[in-house]
Amino acid sequence: MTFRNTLYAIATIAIMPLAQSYATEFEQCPTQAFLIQSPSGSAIIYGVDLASGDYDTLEPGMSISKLNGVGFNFHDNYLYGWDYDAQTLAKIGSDYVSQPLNIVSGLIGQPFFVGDVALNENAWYGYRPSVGLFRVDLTDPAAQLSMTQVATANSMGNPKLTDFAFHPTNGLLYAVDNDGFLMEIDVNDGSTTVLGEVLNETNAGFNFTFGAQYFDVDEHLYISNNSNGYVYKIDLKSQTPTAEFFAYGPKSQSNDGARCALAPVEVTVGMDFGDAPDSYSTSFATSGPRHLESALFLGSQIDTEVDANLYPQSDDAASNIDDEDGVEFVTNMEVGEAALVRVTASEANGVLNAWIDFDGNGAFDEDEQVFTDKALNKGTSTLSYTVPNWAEAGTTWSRFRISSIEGLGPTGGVSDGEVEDYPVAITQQNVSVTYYPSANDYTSLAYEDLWPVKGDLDMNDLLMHMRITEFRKNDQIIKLEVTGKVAAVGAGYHNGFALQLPGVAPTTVDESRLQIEINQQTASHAVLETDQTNAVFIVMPDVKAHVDINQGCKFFRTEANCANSQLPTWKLTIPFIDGVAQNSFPAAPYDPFIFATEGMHHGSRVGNVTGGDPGRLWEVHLKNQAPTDSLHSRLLGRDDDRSDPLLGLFYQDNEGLPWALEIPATWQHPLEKVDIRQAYPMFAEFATSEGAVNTDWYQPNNANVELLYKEEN
Amino acid sequence: MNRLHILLILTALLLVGCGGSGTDESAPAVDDSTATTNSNNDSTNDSESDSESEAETSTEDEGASEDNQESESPQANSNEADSNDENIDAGFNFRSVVNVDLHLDVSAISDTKSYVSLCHYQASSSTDINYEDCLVRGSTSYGVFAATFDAAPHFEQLGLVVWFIDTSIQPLQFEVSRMEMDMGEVHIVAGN
Repeated sequence: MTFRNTLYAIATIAIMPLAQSYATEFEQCPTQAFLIQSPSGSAIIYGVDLASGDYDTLEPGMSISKLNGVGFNFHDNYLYGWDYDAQTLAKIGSDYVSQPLNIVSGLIGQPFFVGDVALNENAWYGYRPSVGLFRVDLTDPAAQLSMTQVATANSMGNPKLTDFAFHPTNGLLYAVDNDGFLMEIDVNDGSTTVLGEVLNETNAGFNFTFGAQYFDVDEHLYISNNSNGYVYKIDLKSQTPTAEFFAYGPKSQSNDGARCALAPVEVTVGMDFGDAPDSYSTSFATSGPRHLESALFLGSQIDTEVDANLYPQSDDAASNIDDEDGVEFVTNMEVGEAALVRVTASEANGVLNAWIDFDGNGAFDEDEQVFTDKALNKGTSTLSYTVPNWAEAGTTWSRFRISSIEGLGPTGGVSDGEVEDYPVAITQQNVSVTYYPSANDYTSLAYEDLWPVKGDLDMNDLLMHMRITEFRKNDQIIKLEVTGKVAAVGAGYHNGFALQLPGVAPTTVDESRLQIEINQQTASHAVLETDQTNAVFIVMPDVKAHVDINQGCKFFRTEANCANSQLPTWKLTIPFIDGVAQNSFPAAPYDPFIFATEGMHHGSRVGNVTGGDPGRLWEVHLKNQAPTDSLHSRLLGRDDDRSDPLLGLFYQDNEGLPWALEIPATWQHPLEKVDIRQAYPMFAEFATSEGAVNTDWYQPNNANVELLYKEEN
Repeated sequence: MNRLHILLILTALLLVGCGGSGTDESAPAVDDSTATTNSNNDSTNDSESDSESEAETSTEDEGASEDNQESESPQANSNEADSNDENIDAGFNFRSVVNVDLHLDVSAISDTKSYVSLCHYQASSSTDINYEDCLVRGSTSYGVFAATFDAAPHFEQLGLVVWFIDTSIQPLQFEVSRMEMDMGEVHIVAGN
């Protein structure tokens, strides 16, 4: 007979504990939750990671048949719960042996399956349906104890509870009953307040039995449903608490839970997240999708994060590890048409669930699920789906999840698999899409801003990365999407950034649908300058206003030891009323230019010409691009500028050097005050040969890399 | 002395006195704002003041800019630069991408709708298409597709793939070479 069995025999014969000899306590306030199940004659204790739903078996078979109403006692780091064999409250230490307590008065002789231990007093509270709420003082568990009734079930309104949990600070009990209503219970008198319905069985599509309920220190109540293991999170700080899906945990016919309510629920080490914008519930704070790393994943690799790297700060773009590699959209997505996607699985035991935000509302809705528990073979599968007729043309997001667990939704943690989020473009039928320079790269627009005086040619007074997406139908350009990132601001002056479409009249633009977003927020400034000959779009009136310059640095991403990965982003959507003929449309990158920010000083040499702060009277364009109607023409040909409008020559000095350059790649720019010809030695001959040689002068392997800005300090 | 040599000398000169923006120009301002009153397109002769300003030497700006973060001043070597002008052709606009016409005809294989993607290859692969990094995506009409795209100089080759919704027809894949891009025209006819 083992020691544990000896204890069990003594306990069951005498129904009295060896009260003075307890096992070792648990670690102080552990972060894991304890889940107790009793499937077949022996209680099992699991350690559950609420963040992922993953669990370990802590005790595969206790020596008692059933343990319930369990709470973690913060005061002594033991578990206390109702031992169904001893028919009394018991204390459980880290050896998971039940040691019944000696309750000598008030014991009602009926089991409790609802219970928890308070934090602001050392006492266990249990609720018995139809009977009421009871209290056992645990100040001295080895002493003779009494059980006192706090309230009758009738006085509490006969709540249908299967577990409850103490709030970490306010001393109140909270529970979600089997009808989905959140309740608050004052343990002083049992008064029960119904706070509202947080879940609805009909909407959920399954029956509720929330047998395990836990708190964390951030006042979140977690409730686990027995039949499917679904874990929901309720924020008690909210004025109107709601339950959001949180994780896929273990399921059972009989559950009870206990947890130290002063411990945080944190992201598990080794989890993979998505990276779509957070409107799709991507981050941990929004219960975003997350998978504990396993051998089952999409594509050829998986990475792990401490939280989601949300678009546009995706780690896939920012690092060399692009683990979004398991899904290939091999066809366009045209409204109302079938489409194909190739999905690669690392193993054969996974199922695929996937969503596409067809209506572009920033969320994955139920009717936007394109694959449901689709079993995948190991390797690559070509799958077909249909883009619905109600889909909105435009750029949107998709989410693909693989797991061995069936029934995954677009959010919540799970113990294996991977999530991959992809931006996708939906078009009307027979629309082709052209990307410049490509769908995954940017062209770079580099400016010097002392014009008409020569600058230092470090070409980083403003550096903008820009990508153009043209939507074409029947030889007409019907829409442009232009996206960009501010890559460097090495200027003291405040400059705006704009885009001119030479030869395209502003009246062709559907101004009612014209959109500008900066950092994913709709901007309020006037975008289209309607009084121009050509359509001119103001992207940012003051670029500098959007950058955060590191402390100790003068500029944004132009100096050594001033690395900054937070690049402001923007997106300009230009719809045309009837389309513009492709053969009369300007070539990419059109005419991107900088201008002086309104009301800001831009040098007295310019100000003396323009009669004050120049604002839109001052512009710098790419070489030989004509300015807009707004430019003060007397600045042309002034100082070092050798523009000659009659000859179609603009923005060049006496050497033919420009004040602005376009480099058709995501360019690594020179450090502050480093001449481009030093940083990129092949540039000079490219220029003097008129582009006959050294056409790829801008590639990193053609640079003096020590003279370039680097992302790492 | 060849032009590149001149350019390198000039580079060295530039490094002595160059700077980005931030403080104001170096020269004392020549106030000609009255000449431009009422018209921002007034081309009234102000060549005299231009000449004066070109000859100015560096001083601190008198206009106290709130942006006065940078100590450098614009260079004051315009006269030196003038002696080396015409190094770069005035008409050369530094554009290095090539505009390419793409024509595709797969009607001999199928004239039903198919989807076309012109994309980069995956990194370190010359066969696997990177569908996340395409230049053109569209669909055929009666087996024919046409588009234009811009090819940057560092594009060595691109892959063109045609997928048929009828998956009993195998997808077609073609390579677009740098030479074809430089010629500005890509013609692909499948099935002949």
